[in-house]
Amino acid sequence: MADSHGSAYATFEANQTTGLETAREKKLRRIVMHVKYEISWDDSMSGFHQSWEAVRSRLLAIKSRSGITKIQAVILVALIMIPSAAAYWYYQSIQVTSKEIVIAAPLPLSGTMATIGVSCQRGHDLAVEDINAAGGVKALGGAKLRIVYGDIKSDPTVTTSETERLINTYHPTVILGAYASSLTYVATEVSERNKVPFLAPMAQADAITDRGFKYVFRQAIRASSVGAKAIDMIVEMAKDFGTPVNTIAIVYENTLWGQTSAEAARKHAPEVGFTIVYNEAYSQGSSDLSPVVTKLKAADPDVVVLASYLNDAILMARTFHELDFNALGYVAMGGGYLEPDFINSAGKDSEYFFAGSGWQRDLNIPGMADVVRRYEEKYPGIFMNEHAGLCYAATWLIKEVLELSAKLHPDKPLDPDSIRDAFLNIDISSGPAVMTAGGRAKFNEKGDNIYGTHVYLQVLGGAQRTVWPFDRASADAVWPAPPWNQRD
Amino acid sequence: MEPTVLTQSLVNGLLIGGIYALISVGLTLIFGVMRIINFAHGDLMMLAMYGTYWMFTLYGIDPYLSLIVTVPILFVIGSLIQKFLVNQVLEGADASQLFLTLGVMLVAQNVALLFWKADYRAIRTDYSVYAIRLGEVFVSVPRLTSFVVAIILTCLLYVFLARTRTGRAMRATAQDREVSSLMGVNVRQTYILAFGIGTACVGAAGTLLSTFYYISPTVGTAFTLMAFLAVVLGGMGSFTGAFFGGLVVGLAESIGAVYFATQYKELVTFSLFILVLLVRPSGLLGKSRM
Repeated sequence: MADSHGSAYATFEANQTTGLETAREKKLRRIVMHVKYEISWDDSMSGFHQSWEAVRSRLLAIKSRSGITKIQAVILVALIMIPSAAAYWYYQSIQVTSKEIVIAAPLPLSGTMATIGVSCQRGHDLAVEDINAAGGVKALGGAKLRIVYGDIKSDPTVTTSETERLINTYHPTVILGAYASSLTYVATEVSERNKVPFLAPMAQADAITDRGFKYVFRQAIRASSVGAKAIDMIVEMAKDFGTPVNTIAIVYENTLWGQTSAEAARKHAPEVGFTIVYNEAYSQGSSDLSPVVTKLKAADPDVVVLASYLNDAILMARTFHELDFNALGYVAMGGGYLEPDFINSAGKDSEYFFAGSGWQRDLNIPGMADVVRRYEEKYPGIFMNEHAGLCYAATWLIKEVLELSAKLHPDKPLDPDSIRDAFLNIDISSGPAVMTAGGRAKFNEKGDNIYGTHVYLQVLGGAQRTVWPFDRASADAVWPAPPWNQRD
Repeated sequence: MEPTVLTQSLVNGLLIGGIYALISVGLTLIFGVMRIINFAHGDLMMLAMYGTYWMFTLYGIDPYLSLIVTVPILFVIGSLIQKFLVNQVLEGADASQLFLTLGVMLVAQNVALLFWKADYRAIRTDYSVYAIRLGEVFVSVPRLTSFVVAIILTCLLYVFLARTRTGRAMRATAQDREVSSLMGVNVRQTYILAFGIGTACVGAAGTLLSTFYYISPTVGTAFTLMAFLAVVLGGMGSFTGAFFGGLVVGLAESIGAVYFATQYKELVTFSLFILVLLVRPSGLLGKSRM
């Protein structure tokens, strides 16, 4: 065999008429020298040609094996598309009866803010239940409220399209949404264009009501006040517990809410004599916050002011523990730190975090205890928090606004301008619609509730307790927070 | 440049870089052997992450133990994708192969979205927050363990490619497809094996990542991009190039995040990438053998 091998090679070599070989031919020749008898060699090149023909035709046979035909492709596509379309149309067909008032609620039910969106949804659902059980909107003949939800996936682009879809499909009278400032900002653009009144229960960024929109109203406190209140609280805590605070760090998520509230804190801190040693945004939804915490440790602030949504909050607390970052106080301006899931997922790491809240279950507001009890019975294991609470109150507020609108404009109560008029004229200080930290609802020309305010809670023993202002506290704050290595 | 901050960020970067290296090595195997741009690379990793998550949540299996399950399963999935999908379009236009892997990516992402929703999930074990303290530098235990396992797996893969017969057959196929088939290498089977091993690599990386990283249906996209970056940076067709490419990307990200604003860490990585390509277009380790 070696002989035939050698002679075949010799024949091959002899067939080179020019001395110029391409690199490929060189390589081929080199490899041919080491071939392992897979193809049987004859002594002549004809044998090689035959074998090569055999291989070539085998390769060509593989090449010519075709895929599916055109008809098959069309059928396949149809088989996939038709059931999908049918499912879509089925889920879209919902009857709207005439004795119902439709409220659209675009909320982040998936994505990075999913858990918060679900809390909001629960608050809305309980309120709608209570309102309808109590007889609906009496001035409109007992019309019942109906909320339709849309999932905006914690994404601003999806928010725009989803809000459009909700408006065009359900023609709501009012919109309640969209939790986060960045999402509410774009949702209100859509609602304003379509002249649908929009009540934002929780979005704090000032910009939302600063645009001169006519149909946008906000129940919560403005972010500029949030930032200032955080600083004020730190000042009072430091004084009350006798620990001097000189340096602070501000760590905030980089969307609208984080930026606006951090800006406010940044402005107010020097006014009370604090030095800002660290002030940086991070990408909302980051999976790794160790660079942030590494830099925080190097800056060594006395207190850190935070603004994060849920996943970042959990990660932040755990990274603080992991990298052993210690401060006198961890003051969050709200957001994800208010979620029950923050305490569940971060576990012991969530202890001693402060969070600013527009609603707290242990504020002694009449009627609140009953609502909280029913919520926590309906959703066992989950305590009612600011997100659910403010949404509950906001839904009742809508009901009161509708009642007023029917009184002021009995001929066209559901007209956007009538509802706007009702918003501007309302002034309530009792009832479930104002079961908030502020306790009162009255809107100014911009659309802000001038009585929106914040209290601060601290996570103590795995529960949220109101600790500030001191006259509304239900428990004593723990300040300074014990270092990580001294906690059990 | 405080030494502590620098050291901490170097350590963090190296630890994550090891896992990036494992992912890149898987991609370079697929790309080198089959010249296929595998868009679904990161999303197959995402499937492994979910597998690990469910095994941990439902049965309490530690993520590192579940490597025994996820790696073979991902190998099988990769082999099946190659056998029934990619092998059909091998002779077709390059665009068909691109779109095929793109399609796999979209299907994987949306199936995950359908079944498991877009919520972020995380595996929290007892040792998730443990950190070994070396002076002023904290080394997170899950990251360190994942790094070590990733390096071991990469070395095993290298030995497989360099020393075993099947490994050499794979390298031969990477060099020249037609001639390898002449030499008796079953090219289609080799492709199946290559895709399978590449996917197994990425499956292992996913399991290792899930000990400290968030899991969501869209988590894979960033990693696919990073893997391509690492592979091209290190030199296409080069195993060691992809390995070092992964380490470099990890380090660049980490140092960039600390010394520039955290939001701009990707800017640093991509700028470095462009710089390297300007100076050395074939990548750091060039067109060397696998």
